[in-house]
Amino acid sequence: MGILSTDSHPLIFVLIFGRAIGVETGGVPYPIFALCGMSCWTYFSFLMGQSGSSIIAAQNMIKKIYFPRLIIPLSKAVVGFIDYLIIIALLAILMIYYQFLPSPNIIFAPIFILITIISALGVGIWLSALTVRYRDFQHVVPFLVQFGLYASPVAFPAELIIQRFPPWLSFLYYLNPMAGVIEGFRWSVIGGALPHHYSYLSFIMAFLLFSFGILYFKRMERVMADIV
Amino acid sequence: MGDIAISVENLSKKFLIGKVKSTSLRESLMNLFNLVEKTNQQDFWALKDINFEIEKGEAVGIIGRNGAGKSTLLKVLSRITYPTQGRITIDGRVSSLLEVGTGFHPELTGKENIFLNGTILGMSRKEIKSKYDEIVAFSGIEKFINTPVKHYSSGMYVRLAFSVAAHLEPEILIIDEVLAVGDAEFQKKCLGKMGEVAGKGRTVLFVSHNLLQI
Ligand SMILES: Nc1ncnc2c1ncn2[C@@H]1O[C@H](COP(=O)(O)OP(=O)(O)OP(=O)(O)O)[C@@H](O)[C@H]1O
Ligand SMILES: [Mg+2]
Repeated sequence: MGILSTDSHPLIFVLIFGRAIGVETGGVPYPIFALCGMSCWTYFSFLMGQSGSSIIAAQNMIKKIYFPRLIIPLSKAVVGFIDYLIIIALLAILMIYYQFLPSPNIIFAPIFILITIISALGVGIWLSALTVRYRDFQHVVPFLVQFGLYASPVAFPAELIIQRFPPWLSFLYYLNPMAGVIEGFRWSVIGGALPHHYSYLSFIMAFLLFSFGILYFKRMERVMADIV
Repeated sequence: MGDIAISVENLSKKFLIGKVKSTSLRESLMNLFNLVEKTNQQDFWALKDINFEIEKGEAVGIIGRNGAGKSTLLKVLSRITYPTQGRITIDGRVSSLLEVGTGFHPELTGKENIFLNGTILGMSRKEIKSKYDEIVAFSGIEKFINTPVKHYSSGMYVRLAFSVAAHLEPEILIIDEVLAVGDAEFQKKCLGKMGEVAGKGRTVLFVSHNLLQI
């Protein structure tokens, strides 16, 4: 079961939402604009959703055989990546259909894909370790995923936030690693003005989440078999 | 060193027993605001200051009453759980068979599980392939090898698990009292196999409640 087969797919939500608020995309066909954001967001949310219960689901193996526990969230990242590539291929098809030429920035796209993976893994590792400690964390995750879709510039450009809200809120907004990553990826595909310099915040958050996630996971690893 | 396979120094393992505090976020938050009465959790030393050495080629049996900590010791030795204090030094690849339900994925078939376990033990696909027929023959469940293991009987489960653990050529073989569910004939076959493994200079460590086996 992959990320492409979820019912009430967020992509539909994004398309409707985008039309409803009449997003200004500067001449770029809206489906292309939205799918740029969706591709990264779908991967991120897939890992968020899957990682939470991953350790508990594998408890039989954890209690019986030794292997580096980090393999569990990592394997989710691999599974999700295949679907990520499929969505990017869809994006390419859409661009051919609209005869939309990618910007020369496209050479930077792999960097943003990489940061997407790092952010998603970071959050995934955190969630998988946290749910071992706090069982009910699993129930919080779906809300985080829901909220995250609104809190990421998937259906609309982050500029909207920066223009309409005070700087401290924009600052908070960019603490979401996906904010900068999606803006960056979209910039690499569509071109236009460089993403806001707040994007660096997102990248820093991505690396912090990832490195501290591994540290926390390593600590939890020691008791995983005892309390899971 | 050289011929010591397992060396254990001052090994201790502590568990928390009683109602363990905060396994949920909700409870943790409530604790934070002192909304629940103090839980009655206690420290419990399942293992306390254990020291021993086992030489290569030895077959060692462990006995003890229920709850003595035998399974816990084997879990620590197979790196499933971490010791609270002390150190263990292990020389060689460990394969372990802990309690019933050893490390199989219920949805995968017997065959797939053989490969999964082998890979986890660090063997290459080729190595596993070369052992595959032997494993299946020893387990005596050829007919069910392509059935998901969730449909196995508990004896079949153990047959397969033992065959895998014993044939993947570990330097150290650790077995908890799983053989109890195997029938008499299979238990005998396993004991023979364990002797054979130990004879080849490998180490066998097993738990049993049956003194005759030891
Ligand atoms: N994860 C855990 N959390 C708390 N206590 C535990 C945990 N695992 C084991 N214990 C406790 O440690 C003690 C030793 O358990 P263990 O399974 O090692 O006993 P055993 O010697 O194998 O007994 P048996 O002969 O019944 O198999 C028991 O009192 C058990 O309750
Ligand atoms: Mg036991």
